[in-house]
Amino acid sequence: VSSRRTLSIRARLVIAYAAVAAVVLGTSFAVLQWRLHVAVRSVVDEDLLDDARAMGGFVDRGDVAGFAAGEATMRAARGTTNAADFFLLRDAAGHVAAGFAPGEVRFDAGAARALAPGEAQFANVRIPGQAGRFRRVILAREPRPGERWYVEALRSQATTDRLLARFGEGLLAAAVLGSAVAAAGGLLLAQLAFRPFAALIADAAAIAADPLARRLRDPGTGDELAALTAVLNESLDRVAAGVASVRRFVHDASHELRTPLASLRLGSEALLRAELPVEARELAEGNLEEIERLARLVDDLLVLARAEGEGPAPSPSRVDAAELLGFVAERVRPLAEAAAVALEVAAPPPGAALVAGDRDALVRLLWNLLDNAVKYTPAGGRVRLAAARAADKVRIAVEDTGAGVAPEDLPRLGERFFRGTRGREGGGPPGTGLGLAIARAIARRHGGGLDVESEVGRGTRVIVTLPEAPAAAG
Amino acid sequence: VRILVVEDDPRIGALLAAGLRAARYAADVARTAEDALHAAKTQSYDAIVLDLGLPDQDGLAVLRRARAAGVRAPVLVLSARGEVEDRVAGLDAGADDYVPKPFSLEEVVARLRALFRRGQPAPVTLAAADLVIDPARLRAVRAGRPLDLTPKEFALLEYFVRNQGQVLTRRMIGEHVWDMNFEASSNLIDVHVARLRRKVDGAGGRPLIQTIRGVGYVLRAEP
Repeated sequence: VSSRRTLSIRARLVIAYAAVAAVVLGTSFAVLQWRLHVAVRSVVDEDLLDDARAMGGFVDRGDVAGFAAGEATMRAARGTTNAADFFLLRDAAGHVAAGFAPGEVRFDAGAARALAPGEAQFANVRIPGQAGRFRRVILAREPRPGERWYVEALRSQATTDRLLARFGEGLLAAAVLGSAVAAAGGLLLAQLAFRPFAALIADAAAIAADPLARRLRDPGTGDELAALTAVLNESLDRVAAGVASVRRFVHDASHELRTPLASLRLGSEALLRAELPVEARELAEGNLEEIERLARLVDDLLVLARAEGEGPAPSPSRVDAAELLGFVAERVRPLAEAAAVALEVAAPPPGAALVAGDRDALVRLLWNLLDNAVKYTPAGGRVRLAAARAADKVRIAVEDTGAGVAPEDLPRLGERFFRGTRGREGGGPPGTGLGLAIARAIARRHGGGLDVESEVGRGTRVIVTLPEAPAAAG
Repeated sequence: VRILVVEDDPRIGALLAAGLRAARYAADVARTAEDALHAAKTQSYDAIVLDLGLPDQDGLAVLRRARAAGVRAPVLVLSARGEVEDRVAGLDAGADDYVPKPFSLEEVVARLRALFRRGQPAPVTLAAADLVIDPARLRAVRAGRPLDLTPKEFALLEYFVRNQGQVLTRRMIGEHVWDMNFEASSNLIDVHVARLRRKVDGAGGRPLIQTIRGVGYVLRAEP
């Protein structure tokens, strides 16, 4: 769904176990394979050198014919298969004087000249037409000063190479199997270690549904998990206390403020039913208007108290930004028309931007922003409402070409009852001064935010960021 | 028509009773849950106006006990708590309507009238003076001249005509005609009423829709 997708702890543990096993088994098996290779090579080399020295005896005696006869005898005995050893006798220039090889073997006479008499030189060579590599030893001989011969012995490595390759394959299979066994063991251990977490997760899910009443059960293990449970329960207690106190405040304030308002209102209405002088009637009607304004203020204050209170986030449903913008814009449009302000809406396509949140609260948030924008934009101006997805957020912007907010007022914007100075010269339109504070509280309550950019004389832009709803769920 | 007002605040109780009497209803006041239950069980009332914030017992509990004791009169609940969930709780407990404080007397009277009217068949066409509306066809005619109304304006006009002579508060209009469950800026309602008024009263004839300062609007058929 998002780029921050991570694996479960269990999966990560299993992967870690398998990786550690693979590294440990891989290195030890690689060392083993290398040691075996070295051992096989040294045995072959010893063997080959012994044979070369034996054949060198003919050269020492100046018996080239003996060499040829001996080589022929051995070849007859061992055959000329690839597995056999081959012997060549070369003169000082590297020309073959006796012996047999299954193909042309390159010989560097210059390099061979550097060998001291009796010194041997090992190398791996290829023979055209023959499969695999051959191990070769060149043994320098000088039966008399100035007379130089080279005894060359060759042995095919096809068999030993195959042996080593098979063994290596076996080791690789063992390493893979070992890693798999380690992964399975890791899974088992992770399951055992996480069994208490399953209960914790089940409890936490129940708490998400009813955050105030329920608590996590003590796993009874006395370990880190128990400590975590205790800490979580403590913070749940604090949240519950916070929610309870906000609820109590809202409940008490509702009663304490609205009941006297009801009384005042009924009294003023009763007064107006009586025969009154014109001035008295004017005063009583003015009182009714003030009471109505106070009632709105109380409503807004209580909404704000609730929105700013601690406690569970609003019931998260999926709200389609396209539908939300359309709903609010349709209702604000008459206000904009009455104020001769153009209302532009740039909504995303339906389903393209989904907000995780409480629809009623979001409607109020947008309503407050648009109501403000229309109020503070002079006739002929423009208010623009737009929304778009941005990473895992939905960004909603309300832009106007209104009076703007002085830079010194910007930080205070959104404080309760703050209604800018320059933006509302001449009394300004009516309002409770809580609209933006409520909008900001609702945005924060959703785990989002609200920012204001403004320029005096140019206009104001309010940007709300809200969490995106996962597209798959619900 | 006799109404029981259950209200612990003496001033509100007295003003409500006086207001209801001015609207030609007979009204008794009970100040505690016990008095209210006793009165509701022994007397026959046509409606009960019940404040939820009583000193001795929760208003919703009183309502449930009254319903359990066979009290059938429609109940209009008054409450300082106007949130949606509070309304739902009130209606679930057996209330017939719910008025949040601070209410206007006009609002209480209008809601009581609506409760008494309930169950009676609505007339096919409605008229006020020379204005005739046909809700089924969304047509409105003033003095023989058809009015060109938007659906919202028609809903507003229909609400006015159905409650002609009755002052309607902005809250009542908002609840009836708009579907936002918070009190949208009363500005919005004023703008719509102003437009409706231009169409209904603008082309001469006696103005039908009047503003009542500090309360709301009323459509009067008679001068």
